Formats: sequence, structure tokens, C-alpha cells
Amino acid sequence: MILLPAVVVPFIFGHVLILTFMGTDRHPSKGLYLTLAGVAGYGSVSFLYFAWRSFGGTASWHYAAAETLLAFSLLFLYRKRFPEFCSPAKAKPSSPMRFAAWGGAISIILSVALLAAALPHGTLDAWAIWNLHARFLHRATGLWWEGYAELHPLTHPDYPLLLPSLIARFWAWSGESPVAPGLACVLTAGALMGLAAGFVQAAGSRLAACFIPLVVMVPPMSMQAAARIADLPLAAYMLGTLGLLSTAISTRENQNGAFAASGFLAGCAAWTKNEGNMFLVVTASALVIFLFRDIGGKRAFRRLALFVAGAVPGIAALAAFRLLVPVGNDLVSAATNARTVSQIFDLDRQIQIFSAFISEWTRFGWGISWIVVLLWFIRPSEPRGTNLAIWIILVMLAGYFAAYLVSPHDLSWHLGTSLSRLFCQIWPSFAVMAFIRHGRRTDSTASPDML
Amino acid sequence: MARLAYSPNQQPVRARIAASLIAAVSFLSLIYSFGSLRQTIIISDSSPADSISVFENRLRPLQADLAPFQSAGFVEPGRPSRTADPTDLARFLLSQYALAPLIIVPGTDATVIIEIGADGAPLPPGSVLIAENRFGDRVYLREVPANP
Repeated sequence: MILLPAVVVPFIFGHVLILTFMGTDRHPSKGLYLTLAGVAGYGSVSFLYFAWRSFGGTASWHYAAAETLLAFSLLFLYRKRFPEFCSPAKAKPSSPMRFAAWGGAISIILSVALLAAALPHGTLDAWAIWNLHARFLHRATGLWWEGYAELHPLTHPDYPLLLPSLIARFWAWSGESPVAPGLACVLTAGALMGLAAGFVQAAGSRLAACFIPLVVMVPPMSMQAAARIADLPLAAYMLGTLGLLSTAISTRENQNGAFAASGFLAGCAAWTKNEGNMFLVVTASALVIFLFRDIGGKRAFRRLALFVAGAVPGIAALAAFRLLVPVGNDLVSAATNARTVSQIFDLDRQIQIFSAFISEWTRFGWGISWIVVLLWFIRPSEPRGTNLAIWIILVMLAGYFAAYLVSPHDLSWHLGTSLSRLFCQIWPSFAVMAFIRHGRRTDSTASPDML
Repeated sequence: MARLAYSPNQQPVRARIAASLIAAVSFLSLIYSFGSLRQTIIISDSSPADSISVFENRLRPLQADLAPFQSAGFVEPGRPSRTADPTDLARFLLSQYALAPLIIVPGTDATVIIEIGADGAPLPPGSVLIAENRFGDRVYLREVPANP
């Protein structure tokens, strides 16, 4: 029972955050608002727990009590502020359609829960990396980072701590058990589906909004969700960031708030995995180009500043972690200049990586992935915001390609053990943006002030 | 895809096809998951819990003796490396997972050494057996005197 308040309290933090960033006006739908609040809230309690433990707080009910007190204090301060949602659509999908959509979403959640039950400690990466790091945060009686840097390189002590911090936070509430990581993976699957359906629905594609959770949670995604690794939380933060940016750019409404909120989610992405660091840098760089080319002047500077300000909690947590645990990344520390240069210009290596990308993309999406690629080539109705998103996704893919190119590890081993997880990170954003691109936000079935 | 957006006039055929597809995919997804769970239950029939929990239980009695230490050596057939046999590597990582926040260091260069399934492995002279797993499953803890 103690897990129930542990699940609910982050939504209060998220509610306060989204209201602070985006105000009370014109939120697209209750479902999307709730999901965004959950995603932002879980990011914020991860920062809180990391700060609590780093400043000497104990891993006990004291944290749960302090977190609850803070949450309800914030709720009291915000008691008179409630979001205003767009008027209900004039035309809703039929009852069988909605029934099927909810049935589909629930069956996927059940599937992830069943798969998670079959793997109580998750896959090797889950227990050897993420749960292990969580145990340091939870079990250490002194300073949690003492000796942490001496962990074996295979356990990747350089990885950021959003997921371990969340798991350890659950343990502070309810005691150490495999249930908390399992709960985190079910919540992540729900967040991905909620964000996907919410953004697509906000773009005016109501029927597509019923489909998109199934498209996003293709079976390999469900398997990765049940594996309890950090790639799916990262995927959720990437989707939240790109969804907010693209809808704000398309609608030209509440852009300041959306930029700040997306900055916060991008900061959470950076706090989740090293690839999230790259995502934050790529997104900020893309925004510099987009804002100063299309808007320019003070407005562009202001929005960029809001994005960066939103990302400050993530950047601060990451900076503190790097100071406490000064460990290099295995890809960087094991590389040598001469070998790296020769690998970059090795044509066979490039072909091997490219071939692996194509075959994994085909295998990963069970064929659906190529249909979604085709969607990108059909003339869109809402291209502006999604153009920014697709450039960010393509640069991320190029970054993954470059990482394999310079990797000091055996290339076949490296591709075989990580490429599918990298595709899990970008797949939800790629699929959702393709559907948003063909939404009909201004048609008769959509509310004109949507988002 | 722009025409995928719902309109009341298009409701019967397209919506029914869509609903049927969603239901079919969801059903398949559930069947697949039940299959995985059933497989796990069949496998776990031969042992009381999953292999990771079993291994954790095997090392649990060592935790009290290891509490004063920040790190421990680790001896077993094979050393953790990328080319090591996966079983050995998994055993090393499992030990680290089970005994965290203790740092496990491969080899014998430590004050205390955990020995798992390594009967006859070379240990530093003067090392003393200070604990043995109560289940007697070839798990030992040896202490190396400061000045052997």
C-alpha cells in the first residue's frame, strides 16, 4: 500500500512544474497533461532524492515524509491554479474504437507487467548497472559515492543516475525489493503510450491517436521496457521534449512555456543516460539555428534562454555527479588517437555499421518501421515543428553511427549488444513526429485553439 | 495519412477495421507475454526462485562479516573481462550486485577475499578462512593479515 503514495506524489510535483512553465491556459487534453506531469514529476523526484542523499540524508522514511510534506506544501501554494483544457472535440472516435484503443493500451501494460514478472531483477544490464547503482544510493550508510568510482568498468559507474535514483527513492518509501524497478518499467511504458497518444491527438489525428500506442510499443519495445533498463525512460524524455517543441512551433501558442518545459525534460534526458547528454546538446544547437534563422532578435534569445533555464536542474545534477564520481566513459578512455583515425576512414567498418543499422531497423519494427519512414516522404500538413524534430533525430542517429565508428570495442559485439536499445530511444519520437506531421490541427474536427 | 483523421461520416468501415487491428495486435501481445511468463514458471519449477535471487541468498551470510570493509578481492575460475566466459563474468557481476555497496575487485590484492567455487586457487600466504557460507556451497571469505 505504501507504494501507492510513492507513485502519486511525483504527479503533484509534475503538476506544479507544468503549471509553472506553461500556465493554466490552453492545455491540449487531460490525458496529455497528466502524462507530462508524471514524466516531469518523476524527473523532479529523481533530482530531489539524489540531492537528499548527496547532502547526507538517510535512505529511510525520513525522505518519504520530507517529500510528501514538500509536495503538499506546493499543492497548497498552487491550490487556486488549475489548468484549462481545450473544449472537447465535436467528433470523437466511435465507442468500439475507443474501447479497442483502451483495450490495446491496457493489454500492452499487462504484457510489460507479465514480462517484468518473468524477469524479477531485469536483464543483465538492469541488475549489473542500473539496479546496482540504485543499491549504492540506497544501501550506503555513509557517503554513497565513496568507492563508487572504483566499480568495475563493466558496471559503467559513469552512467547518470535518473533511473537508479528513482528506484532508490521507491526503496526509501517501501523497502528494497524487485517490485520498484518493475513498477518503474510499467510506468515508463504507460508514459510513452500516453505521450504518444496525447501529442498525436493534439495534432488533430484522433483515429491515429488510437493506433499510435501500439505503433510505439512494438514488441521489442515491450521487451526492453520489461528489461528494466534506462533506454525507455530516455525515450520518454526525448519524446516529451520533441513533442512539446514541435507542437509549440506549429501552433505558435504558449511557446515560452513550452520551451521551458521541454528544456526541463531535455535536462532529465541528460540525467538519464550518456546519449541523453548528446540529445540535450543536439537539441540546444538545433534550437539556436532554428530560432535565430526563423525568429531572430530578442524573442529568439529569450526562448533559447528559457530552454536552457528549464534544463538547469538536469545539468546541475549531472555536473554534481561528475564531480562526485570522476570516471571517464569507456568509449573515450579506451580509444587511442591513431586507432580512432584509422577506424574513421575504414570503409569496411562504415559498411558494416550501415548494414547493421538497416537490418536492425527492419527487425526492430517488424516492418512497421519502414512504413513510418514512408510517412516522412508524404507531403505533410504540419511540417514546421516536425522538421526541427526530424533534424534532431537524424543528428542523433549520425552521433550513434560516429560512436560505433570510433568505438574501441569489438564492433560486432558492440553493435549486437547495443544497437536495438539505441533504436528504442529514438523510435517513439520518430513514429510520433511522423503522425503529428500529418495531423489536421485546423480541420473541422479539431479545436482551433488546440495546444 | 492526413485522411486518417476521424470524421463521423467515415465511422463504420474504417473505425471497425482499425478497432479489429488493434484488438488483434493486443491479443497477440498478451498471448506472447503469457507464454514468456509460463516459460519462466516452468523453468523456476526446478528451483525455488530465479537464479539471481538464489545467488544473492548464497552470499547473504557474508554481508555481516564484510560490513567493516569498503572493498574485497574476488577469486573464482576465470577473470572478468570482455572475452571471459559469460558464466564467470556473470558470477563476478552478480557478486558485486549482491554485496553492494562493497566494491568487489578481481584478484587477491585486498584485505579480505571472497572465494567462490575456486577450490585450490592460489591465495596469498597467511590468509585465514574467517567465514563460510552456512549453505556450504563453496563460498568462502578469507582474510589476509596486514603483515603476513
